[in-house]
This record gives sequence, C-alpha cells and structure tokens, in this order.
Amino acid sequence: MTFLWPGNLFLVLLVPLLVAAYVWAQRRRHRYALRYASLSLVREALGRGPGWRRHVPPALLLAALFFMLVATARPQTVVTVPVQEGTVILAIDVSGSMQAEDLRPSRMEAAKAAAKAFVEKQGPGVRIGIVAFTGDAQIVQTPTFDKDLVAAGIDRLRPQRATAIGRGILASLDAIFEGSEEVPPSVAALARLAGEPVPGATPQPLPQGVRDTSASIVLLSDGQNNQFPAPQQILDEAVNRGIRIYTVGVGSAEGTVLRIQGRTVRTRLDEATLKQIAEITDGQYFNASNAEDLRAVYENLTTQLVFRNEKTEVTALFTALAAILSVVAAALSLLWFQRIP
Amino acid sequence: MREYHEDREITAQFLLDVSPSVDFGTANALKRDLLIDFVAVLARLLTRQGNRVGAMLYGRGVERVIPARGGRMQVLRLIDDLERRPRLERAPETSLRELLATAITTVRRRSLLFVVSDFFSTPGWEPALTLLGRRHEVLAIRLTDPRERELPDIGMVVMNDAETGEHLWVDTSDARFRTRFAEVVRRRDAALAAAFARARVEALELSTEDDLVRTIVRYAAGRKVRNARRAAAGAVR
Repeated sequence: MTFLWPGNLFLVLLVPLLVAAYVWAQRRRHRYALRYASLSLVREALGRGPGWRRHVPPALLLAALFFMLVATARPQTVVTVPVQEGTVILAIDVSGSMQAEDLRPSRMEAAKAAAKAFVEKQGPGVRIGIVAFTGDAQIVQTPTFDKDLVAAGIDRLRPQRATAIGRGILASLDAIFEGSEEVPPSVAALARLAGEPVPGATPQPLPQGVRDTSASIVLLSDGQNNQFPAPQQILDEAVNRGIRIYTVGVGSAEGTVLRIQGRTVRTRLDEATLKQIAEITDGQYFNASNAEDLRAVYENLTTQLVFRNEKTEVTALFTALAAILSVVAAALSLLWFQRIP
Repeated sequence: MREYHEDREITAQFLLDVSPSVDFGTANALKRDLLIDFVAVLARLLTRQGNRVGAMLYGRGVERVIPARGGRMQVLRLIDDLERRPRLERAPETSLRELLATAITTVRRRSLLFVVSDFFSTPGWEPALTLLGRRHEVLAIRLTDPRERELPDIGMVVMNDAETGEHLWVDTSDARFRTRFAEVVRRRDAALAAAFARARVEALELSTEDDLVRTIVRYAAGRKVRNARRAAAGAVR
C-alpha cells in the first residue's frame, strides 16, 4: 500500500495521544467520583455491571478516527479491476514456418484453435479484430463484437511466406483506430521513418503511469522479423497510444529444422524481440512449445485482459470504514448507555 | 412538707460510629453532623438531671473511649472531641462487632447505651448486640440519608465507596438496576429491623432530611404508648 500524501500519516500519531487522553480522563473521572456511604447495596443491585462494555464505543470511535486519519494520506493499493470492455487485436503470424507440424496438427492449426478458444471466452463487451502478417500485414477482420465473424476470420488465415512483425503491429494499431479521425498509425509511422513530415497531429505521449487499458494486441509469431520496418522502430506508436502488446512466441530460440511440405526449413524464434515488445508496451511475453502450451497461454491471457491490476486510491474505502465504525460506536453507546460517547 | 426526688443516677454511654461512611449526607447535613447533634441533645438532657455520660468512638477501629462523667464540662468536651475529629479518607470497612465487643468488656455497670451508626458494617455484629441488650438498656440509632434509599437518575457515574475507596461504574438510569436497588434497600431495612427485634433492642431512625428534635420527640411519645401498651398487656396476663 502506498500513499499519495504520506506526510499526513504523522497525524496517526494523534491516536495514541487520544488513547492516553482517554485513560487520563478515566482516571480523572475516578477522582471526581461520587462519594457514597457504602457501595455494598449498590454492588448487590448491580449484578454484573457494564464492565468492559463501556470501553467498546470509545475504542470503536478511536478506530474510526484512525482510519479517517489514514484516509487523509490518500492510500493507494493495487486492486484487481475487471476490464469489461475494450478492443483486443489478435495479430497472428501466418508465415510459411507456421505450417510446421511440430505442434499438432500444425502450428497454424494449433494457433487458430487456441485463438478461437480465446475468442469464445471473451465477454460480450470485448471487440476482437484479426490481423494476419507475413511479408505484409492485413486486417483480416476489423474489431467487432460479433464472435462468429471473428471465428470466420480466424478460419480464413492461410500460411504465407515472410514475417513482418513490425507491420503486424502497425496493422493492429490501424485496426484499433479504424473509424477514428486520426491519421492511421501505420501512415504516421512510415512517414516518420521515411523522414517525411507526419501528416496530421502526432498523438501526445501519455503521461507517465497513465494507460488506456481499453485496447491491447495479442501478437503470435514463430519467427524473426525479416521485413521493414523493424518492430522496435514503430513501438512508440503503440506506447504513445497506451496500447499493450502481449506477445506469444511459438517454437524455441535455438531454432528448429522443420520439414514443411517435404522441404527442410530452418526457423528461429526471435524471443528477444518479442520480449522487448512486451516489455516496452507494458504487456507480457509467453512462450508456447506445444499445442497445450499455446492453449494455456491464450487462456491465461483471457484473465489478463479481462482483469487488470491497477493502482487505485482507496481513500473512499477507508472513509467508509471510519463512517461505519462511528455509526456502530454511536449505536452501541445509545443502546447500552443511552448516550453518544 | 417534703419533696422526694427520685435520685437514681443513670450512666449513659454513646457508642459512636464515626467511620467514613458516616461522613456522607446529601439532605440538610452529613450523617456525622446528625450524630453530633444527637449526642449533644441527649448528653445535655441526661447531664442536666445529674446523670453521667461517656462515649466510645469508632473510626478505623475503636479509637477513643471517654469514661462516663457528669456535668456540663463533660458534654462540652465530648462535643468538642467529636467536632475536632478529622474526616477520614480511607478506612477498613466498619466492624460494628468490634465496637460492641469493646462495650461488652468495658461497660460493667448497667447503663443506657446508644449505638449510633449507619449500620453499614461487616456482618457478625448481631450476637454482640443481643449480648449487650441483655445487660444494658440499648437504643439503636440508625443514621440514614435519602440518597441511600434512592439514587438520583443521572446516567453513568463512577461511585466511590467512602470507606474502601472502591470505584464502581453505575448506570443510574438503568431501569432494571433501579428496581433491583429498591428491592435491595427494602430487604436491608427488613433485615435490620429483624436484627434489632431479635436482639430486643429499641431502634430509632434518624434521617439527614428530618428534624432531629422532632424525631426524638415523636419517638419518645411512641415509646410512652408502647410502654403503656406493654404494661397493659402485662396486666391482662
């Protein structure tokens, strides 16, 4: 737990002070006690007295005060916040190596199955789009709430040749911002890389710590980027828009020699780049070396996307707790002693 | 013509409980003031007819024994002694038995004994009173205060025992407590009356809210009636 105004925590020192004051007041009260001839009769009539109960309302009140004082320091805590709506782009590598059959029935088919399972699990408030990338990237399905359309989009994926992770990301960003007034992110990025003036206004970088969590990209790849632009060059586009990229790597970094339709192909998974992409955009990297892994990764992602841990100010909770405690203290006091402490 | 005066001098002893519980009073005076007034009135009355008066004072224990003597000076000395006694802050609970036992061993001649106390005491004094009552004429003077009968309704208070200093939190507004307290007071009145009756001792209650002289006069009148009745009953028998 952290505090926005930790200086105010010093106020909490008032609580022990008040406890001391309370004890002192009790003593004082004893000093000003009613002198009475003999308590023998009173004791007999008293039965069991208020005893410890008389300390309960003041104690509750003190606790309430404690929480109020802590609340003035504006406590923050990491809370799991469900993200009910947003946009998820599934960017899927459809390069030739995806035909490899080290995953059953093939990398392509396993990825499709996992992606479909992922789509099924998403809530109704999530728009899903499909982007396929090889030598170039294309939007297979613009983000939509219609899961059948998405599933059909996944089915349409066919293995192609090269691998352009950078373009995949840009196409995904385009898909997210499709229909907005903004210049498509890919146009802006390519213009910037070519050294040309960027048409339209560049989005201002978001302030530190603030993130738009409503959109994210899930990028699946099994190879190395071998096309312009390099993914590192265009990541700013995603970061500035507050979009996280979760990356899923299929295969291993050592590289495997695969037989694809009778030909021998050597592929290497560029794990470092995928990790970097995830890290820079505040996403996460997963590795899948078999079909179960892949499915697990997507399932894991489901919860990751739907719930996010966010730093939230919980002052309201503290104040509410303090209010409840005060009310309970007053109620008990009224109930037991017919007065408010 | 000769006039005969009955010239049988009486010795009267005041057994006085001046423990801290007697330093309490909420109406017109403290119970202790009442006690002093009572002693003054009775001692003056008795010495005027040439009787002798003495006293025993109980504070933390039997603290002072003033031998019986006659005369105005004796009365003044007695009152002065009582007035001068400092108010005790703390004391062990009063043990009336101790006071009564002292009287049993020290008062040898048949005397008139006034036991003046609020009768807030450790138990076990009744047999001693009975024993005293056999030998002497004993009058139990019970000092009371209206606040001992009924507590004011003032919510939560800390009450402090005048003798032991014990503190007790009391919710004087609690209806159940009030009824229980009234019941306890009633039981105590009944128990004291029964104890005096068993010891065959006459009892008189002096309250801080009543007028002392009027109470004594009323008592004397009642006593005359009771004696007459007793005599009549004896004649019938």
